[in-house]
Order: sequence, then C-alpha cells, then structure tokens
Amino acid sequence: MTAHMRPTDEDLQAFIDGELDAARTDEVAAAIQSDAELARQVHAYRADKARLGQIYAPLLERPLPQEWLTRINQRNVVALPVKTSRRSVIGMAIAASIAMALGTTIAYRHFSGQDGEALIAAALAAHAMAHDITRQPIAENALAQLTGVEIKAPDLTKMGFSLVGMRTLDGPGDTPAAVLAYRDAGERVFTLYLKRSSGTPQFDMIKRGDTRICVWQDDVLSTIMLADVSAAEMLRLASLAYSGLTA
Amino acid sequence: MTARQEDDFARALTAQLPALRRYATVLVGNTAAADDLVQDCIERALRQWTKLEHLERIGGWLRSILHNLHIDGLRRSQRQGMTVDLADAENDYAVVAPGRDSATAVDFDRALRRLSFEHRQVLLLVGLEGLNYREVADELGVPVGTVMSRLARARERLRYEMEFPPTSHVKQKS
Repeated sequence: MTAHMRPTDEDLQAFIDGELDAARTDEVAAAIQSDAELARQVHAYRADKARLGQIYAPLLERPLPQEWLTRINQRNVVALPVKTSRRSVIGMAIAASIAMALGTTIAYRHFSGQDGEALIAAALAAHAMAHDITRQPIAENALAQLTGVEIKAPDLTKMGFSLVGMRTLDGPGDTPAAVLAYRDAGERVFTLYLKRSSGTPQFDMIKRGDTRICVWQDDVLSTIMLADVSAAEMLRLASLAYSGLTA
Repeated sequence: MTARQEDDFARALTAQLPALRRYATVLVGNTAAADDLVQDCIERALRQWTKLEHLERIGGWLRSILHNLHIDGLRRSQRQGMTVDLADAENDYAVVAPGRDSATAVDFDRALRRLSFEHRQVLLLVGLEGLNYREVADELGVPVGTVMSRLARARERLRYEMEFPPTSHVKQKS
C-alpha cells in the first residue's frame, strides 16, 4: 500500500470490528504494519473496545428486582409500582376515572390475604361452571336485585364476546354472587363474577394456570373477571366490562 | 396471539433484562435512572408485545423502546427546565477492573460519560452489545455509512477524553 492509500478513520474502525472484506482487510493491515502511529492508534482503540466489555461485565451479575420478575410472570401490565412521583399507573387511572363515574372510590392495592384467596377460588369455580351455562334471557333487574347495586350486564360485543347467561351462587361469607358467562366466536368463555364488596378497594391482575384473572373491587362491588386470554386482551375486556356495568 | 406465545415472550423478556439493565446503566450513567427506564420499558413491552413480529429480535426492540423513553424523558426535563449534572452521578456504580487497571477503568468510565448520547449509544451497541454495523444501522434507523462515521468520531472522542481529561470536571473526593 502506498502513502496516498492511507486508511480513513472509518476504515480503521471497521478493521478493528472485522467489518472489512478480505481484500480491504489486507490493505489496512499492511498500512498499519508500515506506520507506527497508525499501529499505536489501532492498539489504543482495541484496548478501549476491550475495556467496554471488561469494565461493565459485573453489571450483568446484579440480581434483578423481584418486582420486575413478578410482574412479568403475572403479565401485569397495569400495576408496576410508581418509583417516582412523575408517573401515573395506567390501570389505576382507568380505575379511578371509572370509579369517579360510579361515585365510588378505588385505590390500587395488591389483592391478597385469606379473603382475597377465597374470592378468587370461588370465582375460578364459577368460571369452570360458566362453560356449561346455556343461552338464556336475563331479567332486566336481576343483577341489581342480587347485588343491591344499580348495575346491568355489560355489553362486550365490541371485543367479540356475547352474553350467554347468568347464574346465582352463594359467594364467600354466604353473600350471593352473580356469574355472567360470555362467549366469543372461538368458544372462549369470559366470566364476570359479581358480589357485594367487602369494602376494601383493590385492583390486581393475576394468572392461575391458563386463566387470567382481573380483580376490580371498589367500595360497593367486587368484580372478578376471568378468561383464557392475554394480559392485554384482559385489560381491554376488564375496562369494557367494568365501565359497562353502569353504562 | 396465544397464551403460549405470550409465555415465550415473557421468558425472552426476562432473559434480556440483565443486558438491558447494564446497557441502560452505562448509557445514562446512573443506576436509579437506568432502573426507572428499564421498569418503564418492561411496562411498555408487556403492553405492546404483540407488535414484536420476530421474537429473536427482542433485544433490539427493547433497546428501541428504551431509547424512546429516554429521549421522551430528556425532552420532558428540558421543558420543565431540569438539568442533569453528570458529575453528581459519578461513582454511582462501581467499575471493576483487575489489579493495576482499576484506575484506568475509572478514567474510562468518566471519559465515556462525557461523550454525547449518540456517541455513547453507538459505542455501546458495537462494543458492549456486540452488534455488527448493519444491525446497528437497522436499530438506529440510519445508513451503515452513518454508523461508521459516528463510531469513528465516538472512538476518537473517547480517546481524546482519556488522554486529556478535563480535570475541572472530576469530582473531588473529600
């Protein structure tokens, strides 16, 4: 290689990164061999590149926050806790806006404890039973009479789910519960389990087996929604169902 | 999208987190800010995962989300008149190098933090994430030639910062 063919800065970097074709690699290598200053530059650049990997490798070993892993496992798109005051949690914002429309209050809280587990177990049993509910008309005031709250069966046709029927059950604590079954064209079942609230506002989304469960409880009503759907789909269904109760 | 696809996505997302967190930490130079970014990134990824067409490209997809979130945050800070003093963030995380290289490692870390965002970004994508030029170009949405010239300027600038550190910027330990 002659002096006028001195490699460009880009050539040097591409040489270091192995991005040149064989012919150009040979030319640049020859230029470096014959030019001490170029050789020094290449050595320094290579050392810098190596340092990047070496110096920051330990950052890979830091244990991940358990909160992140839990949320991913639960596919919880809603409720990652706010780390600073700059953000609002989308689900809480939806919940709050709808709760305001209902004249109730709601606050985000993980759904847990004995009462929560009992309610989820009852809702899961109702979801299994909902697959057998046959198409039947529902009396206009049935839900309101059962729960003591002015609500009606929400319309979920926007999401492709049609109302099939309703059953009443004894919920935990011997309070009556209503089970609304919806079905889509693919025969997937969306279950809406409703009962009077224990009074503690809660919101959570969890997964049990293949079933996604959204718990949306204000100070009047406990609404448990269940279906074998993705987290994103459940979030849309839950928003539509919860707002549709009083629409 | 099926529940199985969603499970596959969740596993892939989890597997990416250590590298994504490291990338964010070095890119923004502050562990708390980086963790905020990664957490936001997880939220957005969980909401938008159905938009990811090829699961094997999840690394680049997550970094793109991270870049967008970071830029949004910078714009928000500018609108609110907030400034970030990188000197205050120095030694926020420990840089590690064997034996006598530890002082060089600290100098290197400081020099890297003084580079522009674009320069740090391209250096990290090639040097830390191991992407080739074509992959970097695709991820940043620029021609390969731009990647080459940006990388050359970035490495040159890093060398300069290593050889001529602005001592006034170095935080003095008491």
